[in-house]
Amino acid sequence: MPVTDARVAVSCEDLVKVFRSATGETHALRGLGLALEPGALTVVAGPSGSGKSSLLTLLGARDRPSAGRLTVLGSDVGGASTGELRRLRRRRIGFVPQRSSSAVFPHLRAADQLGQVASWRGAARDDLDEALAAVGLADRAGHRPEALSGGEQQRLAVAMALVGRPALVVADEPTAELDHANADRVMDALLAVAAAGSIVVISSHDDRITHRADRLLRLRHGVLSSESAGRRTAAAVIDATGRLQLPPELLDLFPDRRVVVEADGDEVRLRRPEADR
Amino acid sequence: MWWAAPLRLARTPGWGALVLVAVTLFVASVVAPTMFVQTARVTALRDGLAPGAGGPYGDQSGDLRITWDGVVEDIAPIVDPLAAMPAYGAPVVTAVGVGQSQTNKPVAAANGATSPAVLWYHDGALPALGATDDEGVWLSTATAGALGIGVGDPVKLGMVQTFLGTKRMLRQTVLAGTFDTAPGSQLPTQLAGLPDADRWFLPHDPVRPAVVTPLAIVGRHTFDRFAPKVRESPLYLADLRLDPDVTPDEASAAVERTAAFGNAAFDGTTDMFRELADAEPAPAKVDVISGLPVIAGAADTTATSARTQVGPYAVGGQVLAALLLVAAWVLLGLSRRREQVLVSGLGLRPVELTLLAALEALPACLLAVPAGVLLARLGVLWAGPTDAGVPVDRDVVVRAAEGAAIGLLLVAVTTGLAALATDRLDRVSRLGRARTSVPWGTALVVVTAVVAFSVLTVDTARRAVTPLTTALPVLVAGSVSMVVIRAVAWVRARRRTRSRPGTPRWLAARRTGQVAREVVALSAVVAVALGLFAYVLTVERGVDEGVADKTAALAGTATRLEVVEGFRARGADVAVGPPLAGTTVVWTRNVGLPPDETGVPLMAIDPTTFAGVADWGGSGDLDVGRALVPRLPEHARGLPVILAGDTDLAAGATTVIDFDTVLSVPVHVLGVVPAFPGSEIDPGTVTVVVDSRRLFKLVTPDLDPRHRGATSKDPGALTSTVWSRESVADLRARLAGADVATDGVVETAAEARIGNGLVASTWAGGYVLALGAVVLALALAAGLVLALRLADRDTVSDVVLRRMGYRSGELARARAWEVGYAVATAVVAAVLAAVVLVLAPTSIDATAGVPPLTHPRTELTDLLWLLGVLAALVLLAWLLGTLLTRRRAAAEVLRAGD
Repeated sequence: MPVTDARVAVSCEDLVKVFRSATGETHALRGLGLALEPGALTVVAGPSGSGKSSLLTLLGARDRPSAGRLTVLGSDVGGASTGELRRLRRRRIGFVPQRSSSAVFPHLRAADQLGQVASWRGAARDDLDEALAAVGLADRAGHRPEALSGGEQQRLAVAMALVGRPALVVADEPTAELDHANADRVMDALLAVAAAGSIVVISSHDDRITHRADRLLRLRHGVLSSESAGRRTAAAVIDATGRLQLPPELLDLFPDRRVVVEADGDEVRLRRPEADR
Repeated sequence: MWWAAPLRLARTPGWGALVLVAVTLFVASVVAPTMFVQTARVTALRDGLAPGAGGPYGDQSGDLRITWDGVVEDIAPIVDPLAAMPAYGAPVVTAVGVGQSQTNKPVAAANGATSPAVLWYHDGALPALGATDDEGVWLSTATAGALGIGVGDPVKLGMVQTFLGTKRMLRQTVLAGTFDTAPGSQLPTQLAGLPDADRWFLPHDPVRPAVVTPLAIVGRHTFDRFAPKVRESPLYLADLRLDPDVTPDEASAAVERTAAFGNAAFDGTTDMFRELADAEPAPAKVDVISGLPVIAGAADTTATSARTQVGPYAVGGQVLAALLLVAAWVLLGLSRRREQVLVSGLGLRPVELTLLAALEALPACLLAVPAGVLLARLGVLWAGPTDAGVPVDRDVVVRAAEGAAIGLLLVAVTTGLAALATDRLDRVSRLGRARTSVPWGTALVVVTAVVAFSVLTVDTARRAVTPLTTALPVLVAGSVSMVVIRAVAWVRARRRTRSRPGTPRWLAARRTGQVAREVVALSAVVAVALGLFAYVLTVERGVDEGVADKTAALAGTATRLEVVEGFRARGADVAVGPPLAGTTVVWTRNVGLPPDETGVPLMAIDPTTFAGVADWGGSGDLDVGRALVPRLPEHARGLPVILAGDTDLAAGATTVIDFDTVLSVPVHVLGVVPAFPGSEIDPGTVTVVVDSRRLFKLVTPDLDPRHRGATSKDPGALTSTVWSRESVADLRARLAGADVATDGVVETAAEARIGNGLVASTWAGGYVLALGAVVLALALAAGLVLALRLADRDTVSDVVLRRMGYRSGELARARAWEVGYAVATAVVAAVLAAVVLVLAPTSIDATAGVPPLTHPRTELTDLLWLLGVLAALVLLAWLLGTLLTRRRAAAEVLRAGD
């Protein structure tokens, strides 16, 4: 899928990623095409092993594709020099790795960690306070990771990715170790960065996250199985027997005609059964 | 990050301690050879000076004596340079008349009587006697009494010539005082007890050399004035004592200055030359007497030999320590894998990481400078040439700083390379790229074979100092370990465990995990380290025993004293029998051994006393010869002989020995041995050992020392030497008591060890032992890491298994079994590697020119050491497993995920 739109900042064409091991080759991504525009939060969902982390690692310019073309913020990840990609990651990409609670510098205080990253991105001091406040760690700025809980450490990792508002934020399951309140807080922060003009791509299994996405990509066996716009609302009718009639565009989201209904306070959510895993 | 880096290691004390220990070991390994060689030089110098300390001035004494034989107008041009001589004390001047002979007698005369008295001056003598000025003469009360004079009376001093009539050459002075002589001495009692008084030059009566002529003690001006006028032959001596704590550098400087002093005496442009040329009664000649040039030169030679011999082991130690440091830093990096993903994601450049690592390691490296010096000092004190003291000078500190800098560089480069390797961007994973795998195992075996061939084809004499010799044990241990570990893995994969299901041993046999490669790698490290440790034990023992063997071959016994005439012409009992209990007499000369051996040393010994006095080495290799000694008196077709050294003759052979082609004695070879006590005293490819009593019956009368009229000057006469295990002083004292002359040449085992590089070999053996301690520590550390890694691997499964019913103790025992399997495999590999290295042609003999050859030597204790390590590691693994399993809370383990 050739990308011609000038607004597109990240594009993938026939993206392939193959991992080799002693037991053979694993095809993590099999010809994936994708275009991401600034100002949107995209959630990548899918079962374990579907290629989410591989895709995010590539989008974060931390690996090169085995085949296909990947352009991130104007750089061809496959062809750019190591130094060029390193500069890209250093200044323009915020990355939150999987199990990010341990992806912080253990010997630095929270504020120092952000200060270090901010210095590379040319961010102002206010940005540090803002980033820490955004993830609810304003009162923990002087603590080292050893004094923070696992969830706080994960939020610190997110704050490090957000500081200086990089052009691209990639987060691999950034709310995996968080309770609902903090997960919402982190999502708010990510959405705010997206609203400010950054591209935000995250992976998640959590429907509380996916339903807040501007765009939801579902991966299966290394290819996009579906793509939908997030946070859509549509009118539906519940008949006298309690049956819910979905409009056709939403009905397409349930190809096997099975649905899981979740009630949470005043809210009722519908999702496909596969998300249970 | 930059500010936090230097203190980062302090926040993780365990890792900080590991890095500090590793870099300290590296610094110690860098600085230890320098300290070792310096200590060797100091020790060799002190050992060289010790025998002559307090003894007569001469070749064996480091003290300096300058003599000149004339009265000079101004003594300053001679004495002032001596006073400025480094390493020596102030010169003490003695002046004495040495003109007495059978016809010239120095006398004091008064009242018509004369009494022997020779002019004598010594710095400080008159003040010690109580004199207030230099005027007059001090005579002994006996001399004054013989002359009938008292203090203040006139007295004449001078020479009386009795050749062809009596001629007196006397000058008058006054008796300034009298003194009582010390018992058995002509020195005043006030002087006899002063330090070095026994070394002062005193005038001996030429007719009776043991008798000292009575002294006429005068001031120097009186001596200078009187000596030429009374036709006395003046001799001036300036004695300088060497500083007992002299360093080799100071000794070398002193030798240079002494040589320069001697040259100046013959340099016409110097004031000294002019003074000596104008001396009375005739131009004077300067003599320099000191053994320091020879002793300092020997010390330097010994130190050089030590450096050469220690060199390969020093390099080995440095490489080992560097590997340890790199391994410690790599392990630290592995513990920060998650952080490395973070820094890669944040785009940190490898060069930044390199500098950060350098900053982080900097405090440890700075601390390692004093710590490394201290460790090296302790090591050299423990295993080095002496425990008298190890110098720590500027060179050592600079070397330590260089070592720390290299350590810092190693850490930085390791980090930089690791950063490049972990930077996934540098591993382009394009489709179709071929996988390359290096056959490391095969490569190791091939390299080992090539190095072994290279080393073993080098001449035996140079093999020990060939650089590749250091690498050979490591490669052999590595290859054998690899083969054994693979073989054990192959066997275990095909053999079903017989242990009961559910037991710790059954669990251990079934456990496989993510750290399998790490287990193999750590097992290999333990195996190589233990293999090297076992080999080091055999090498150290072999070197020690080899030095003892070679010393025995070179010296024969502790002390040998040549007795020129004492045992001749006095019958068989004196010539053959020992002069004292605990001694034996050995007669030597060179003979011919057909068909083409000439100049073959012959040792004629007394079989009844020789074996008890001779030194038979440390390994037992010389015991073959010892067993043959009682057979020397046997009656056979020829004179029974033992041949020591390389010869084509074999036991049972018959031949002849030629005494200068005049006499041929048929001999019967009892046996051929590689070396025999004293067989290397005189260089030769082979030494013939015979029973002296039987030999004397066969030789012609002119060669028979028992024969009346036999002297050492007879053509072809044998030389007699007393052998004893006593010290030189004790032997001399006992021989003197038995009326045997003790002025013959003395040679000791200690001198033989120093002069032939054997002392350096002993010191190198000590260095090897220190190296062994390091590899043992490495083996223990690797075993400990193995136990820790297995415990880490089982963090989650332990929780699960406990919930399945396993007890903590059982899980700990299962891991102890695993460690036990791994270390037992390592021990087997270590034993095999040591056996291969011990059975291979020797490569540890740095003094192969002196037989017998030095080999690594095994003992049962070597195996016990390895088994001890196995037991210790299993115990440690069990303790660690128990502690860690109990300490980890199940909820925390499961929450952490990995």
